[in-house]
Amino acid sequence: MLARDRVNRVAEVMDEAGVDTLVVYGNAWQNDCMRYVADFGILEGQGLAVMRKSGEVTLYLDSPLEVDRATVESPGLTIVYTPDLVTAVGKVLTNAANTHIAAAPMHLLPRGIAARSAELRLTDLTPQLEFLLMRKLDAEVDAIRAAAHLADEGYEVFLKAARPGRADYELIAEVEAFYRSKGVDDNFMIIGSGGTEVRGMSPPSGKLLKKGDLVTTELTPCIGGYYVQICRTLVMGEPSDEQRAAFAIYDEALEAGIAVVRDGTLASDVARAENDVFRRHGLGEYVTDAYTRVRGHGLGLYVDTKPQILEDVHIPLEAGMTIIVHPNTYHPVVGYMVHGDALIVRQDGADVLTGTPRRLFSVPA
Amino acid sequence: MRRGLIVWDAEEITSSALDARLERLRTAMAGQGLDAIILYTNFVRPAAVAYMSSFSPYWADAILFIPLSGEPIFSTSMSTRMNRWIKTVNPVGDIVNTRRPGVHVGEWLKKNTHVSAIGVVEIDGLPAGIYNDLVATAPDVELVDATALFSEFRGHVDATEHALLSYCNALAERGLAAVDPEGMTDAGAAVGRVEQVARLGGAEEAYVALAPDTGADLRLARVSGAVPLGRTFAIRASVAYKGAWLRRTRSFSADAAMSARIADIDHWFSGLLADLDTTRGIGPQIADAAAARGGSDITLLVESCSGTYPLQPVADPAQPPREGALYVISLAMRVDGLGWVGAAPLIQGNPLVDQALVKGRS
Repeated sequence: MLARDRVNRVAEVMDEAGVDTLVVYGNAWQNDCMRYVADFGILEGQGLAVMRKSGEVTLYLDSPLEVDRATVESPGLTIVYTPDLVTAVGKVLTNAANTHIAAAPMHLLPRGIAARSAELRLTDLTPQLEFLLMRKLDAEVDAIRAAAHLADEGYEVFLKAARPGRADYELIAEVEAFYRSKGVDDNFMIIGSGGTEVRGMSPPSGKLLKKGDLVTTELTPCIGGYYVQICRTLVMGEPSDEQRAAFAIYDEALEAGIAVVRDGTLASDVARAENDVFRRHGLGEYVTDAYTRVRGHGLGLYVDTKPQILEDVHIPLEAGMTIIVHPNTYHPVVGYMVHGDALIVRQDGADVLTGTPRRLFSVPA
Repeated sequence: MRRGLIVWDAEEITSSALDARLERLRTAMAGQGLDAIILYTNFVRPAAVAYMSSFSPYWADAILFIPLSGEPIFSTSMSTRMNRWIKTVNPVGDIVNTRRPGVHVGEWLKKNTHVSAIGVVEIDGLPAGIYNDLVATAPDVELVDATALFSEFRGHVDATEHALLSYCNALAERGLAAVDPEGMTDAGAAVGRVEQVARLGGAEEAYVALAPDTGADLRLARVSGAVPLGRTFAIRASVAYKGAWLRRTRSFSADAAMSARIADIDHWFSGLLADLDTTRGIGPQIADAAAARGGSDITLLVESCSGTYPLQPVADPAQPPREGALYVISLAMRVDGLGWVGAAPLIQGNPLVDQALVKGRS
């Protein structure tokens, strides 16, 4: 039903733009547009979905194993296997050349198709699709809300798995096993462990956890294509006074960011509220891009969607948007720390989705 | 996104092994009159760059630009903040962080006008944004498709890759061996266990697919949670270890008689792969043998690694296999009403060796 509602919205957008045929690219890293149109979570290979203004969608995949999977997981779709996406979809577009064809995301299209843009009079429908991805249907917001408890439960598993002498990737193995047992198909997760030498999070590198380490993670389970995220930091052993003092700043920044969230607030307002806390504590240098990427971002069919929460992003937040506010950055005394909660933007404030306590966790060491 | 162990271990992937690959690729490039080659990498297309540099992205994308001489350039859309991490996993080339790798490489080409004939692996599949940036910045260079050149170069599994594949194979085998068809009743427990074993062993990636009731349907999908397991079921473990990928699939049953029949077919399949005639195409031999074994509804897939994908179907499975190349054979069929699915790697003349699972720490 939700998938059909999304297709109907795209059909409306196509109608408004006078588009007859829409071609949408996707792979496992960049799949939000294609998943919006063709409800399939691609893992291997690449795909192109071709949607007609009637709402009919054909999904072209270049992996036969993914075709098998798609026929099981997305039985309502017309699915075509082709080892050569450019040639197969190119022929479809040639046959539609006397109609108005659009594409999204234009910059990700295989060059072999994009090179024919002039001949096919291909127009870019990416901004319109990004608009739909940001301004979600009620059912999409419900899907994200329904997944939120899994972020909390996943963090509990992470906490239990963290003990001295374990390698960072072992914690992820435990979380992934838990998620499969709960029917969570996908999860985005990065990790950091150590002290002031740690400048951010990344995939695990085999580092062993030891007493005194800050262990950071960003956990992002995905249910039915929708991601929800939580960021927390734990200490191996009893937190030091410095670690507690640093955490208080991140907690204050998270509260400050969430406090300004409401319909009409700009993404930049949220970022500024978070960053002002760091600036008040003499840590203004650490909210620059030398130390941090974003102060939060949208959540939905991609783990990191628009609007990015940055002081130079002036996209207005609208009721129904789902975002995470996370003042994650480096602290010169204790190292990299993360702290963030997913929420729904409401008319008069924020509806926080994740329920894990906002504290600096510690585990025995 | 990729979240398993990603680390460069100088003992597993030695600098000399990477240098030897670079030298071999440059020889192939020179033979075709190329001044440089461009390899693209992202989350789903990591294989070519991983082979040349050991780097696999968990996020973002990059170009590895390899001139005929001089230092390769690794131009990535990852931020400078990630450089420290990149350096721990990418021992080849100068790292350049840029939002637009195509512009960066184009500017390099504009300054180095003696480098003008550029091969691009899978040129038609290059993301339009990168390609357009490249040709707009360096309009005078000649970009040609280097897919066939790279495929020819990539065909032979060297000793380094063989060791990685052997470990990868052990991760997949041990994961599947941990499935307890008598004790596990739902999909989540089974696929979770396979993935857990693989990741605890240091897998870079583990995609686990399941056919919960092969009596009814032989197709494997991403099934987890409380979905009940049927009388017979099958699990596919697609596992990566430090850039090397393979798949193994096994069928299971809690029923002793069914399990014995599955074991019989497993044994037949192993023997078949070991005894293939190397002078004839793999595909027809396996399909014929499956039919002779009494199989019906036969589905066969022969994959290899020849470009940016970790594994992809071979263009013509009727052609004789290349000696020393990796193939992954996936077969599904019904035999006297029993649904059976299997997959295993094959390197003719150089079988993978059994490896004990040790922690993947470096």
